[in-house]
Amino acid sequence: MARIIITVLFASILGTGWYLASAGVWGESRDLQSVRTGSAGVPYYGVRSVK
Amino acid sequence: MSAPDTLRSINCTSCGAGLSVLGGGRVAARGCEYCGALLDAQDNYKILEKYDKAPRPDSPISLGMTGALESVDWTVIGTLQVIESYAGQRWEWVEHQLFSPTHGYCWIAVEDGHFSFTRKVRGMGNSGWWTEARVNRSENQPGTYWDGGRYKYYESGTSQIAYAEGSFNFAPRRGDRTPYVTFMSDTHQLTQARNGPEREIELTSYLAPEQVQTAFGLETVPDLKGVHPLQPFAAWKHGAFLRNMGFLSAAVAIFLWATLAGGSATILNEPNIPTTRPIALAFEISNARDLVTIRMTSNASNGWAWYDLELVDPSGETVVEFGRQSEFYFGRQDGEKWSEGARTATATLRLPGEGVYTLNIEQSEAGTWSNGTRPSAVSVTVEEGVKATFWLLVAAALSAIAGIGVLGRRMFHNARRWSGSDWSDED
Repeated sequence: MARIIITVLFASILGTGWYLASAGVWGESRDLQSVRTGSAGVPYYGVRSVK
Repeated sequence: MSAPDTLRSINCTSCGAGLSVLGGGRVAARGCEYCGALLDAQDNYKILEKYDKAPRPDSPISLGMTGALESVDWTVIGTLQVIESYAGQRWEWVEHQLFSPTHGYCWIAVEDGHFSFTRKVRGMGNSGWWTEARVNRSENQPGTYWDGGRYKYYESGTSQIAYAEGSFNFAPRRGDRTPYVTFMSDTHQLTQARNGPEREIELTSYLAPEQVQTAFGLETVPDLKGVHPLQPFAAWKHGAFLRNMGFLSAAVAIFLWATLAGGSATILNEPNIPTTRPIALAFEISNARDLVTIRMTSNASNGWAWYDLELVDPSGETVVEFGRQSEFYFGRQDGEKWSEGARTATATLRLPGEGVYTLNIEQSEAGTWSNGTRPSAVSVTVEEGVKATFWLLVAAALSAIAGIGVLGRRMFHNARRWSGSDWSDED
């Protein structure tokens, strides 16, 4: 039973890592992450970054 | 005159108290637990020494107890309190002499709740006889091979008898000092001790408290303090499986990371574009599901530049505006080269759809340091199909931590086992 739990644990770690990587979660540059909708209904990313 | 085997009790020749006689015909002395006198068992229990009555040392084992260890029946015949002092520190432990009609004499020591079993053996090890002085002269950690096993130096010192009661196969006078040198393997300690003119070799192994409790029928055993030098590592039942799965999972995560990291496609690669005028670059996105990375590398040399970027979608709408800096400085100080800054700047984002996008770049500010030059050109690449691959590095790290944790527990245990050693390579 313990071995099954350990196997499931590592499969979950790998599966979660694969899913998050494939989905690009938190993969965008931090200053471009905030998504807003522009006047034309087009997603608008962030604002001009501050130097 | 030896005590006859049939003799089971005597009266103390010092205080008259009735004393049991245990230990067979080779018993040499009897310590009276009532008055503290040491009696000569080889000569009608004449008084060898008289001592002030001292408090009995604390031990769950007492005279007369019997128990079987590794299928040998033993009787507890004597109790010693042994002390050692060095540099203001004091250690004390209790040693019980045991007797078996078939196996002779041995010892059980009790220290900090831990039990150990000691018996005399033949052969001092291939490196000969060691003294504390010889250890001090040694440049490397001494060691010896005994009975096919490798032993490394653990400690040396001089122990001293502080209390004795019961029967012994020698005469344990209070204050008797025993210089010793101890070596240790993974499972045993090999001790070379000098008792008067005699050289003795002792082999010690660890006894699990539950084993002693069961063998001697003890109601309770003391709480353990610290780790005994011979205490076996208590491995988790599935520790090896956890370790192997951890490292396997980490390896798979690294493989997946490499696979995903190599799965992106370069859709724009424009080298050395002059930045004297605004730049407009068009590229076609065919995969809007994944991330897109824009990478800019300037020719900064002890200089910096700030770039304003605008990304316009196929319908002409601005998708995003942002800025990036490129800088690189280098020099030589105190004869050593140094450099800092990054010529390459990146931006990773998700685009709303497929089609031809336009990237507008303008070098809005630039500067120099020392004898540097202003950046005058920039190379731009755009990749699509980019994944957030760091998640797989996180998965690899988490998996490896599990494997390293299992290994680390064993290493930590061994470090604690050896923490009492008085050997230091820095001496």
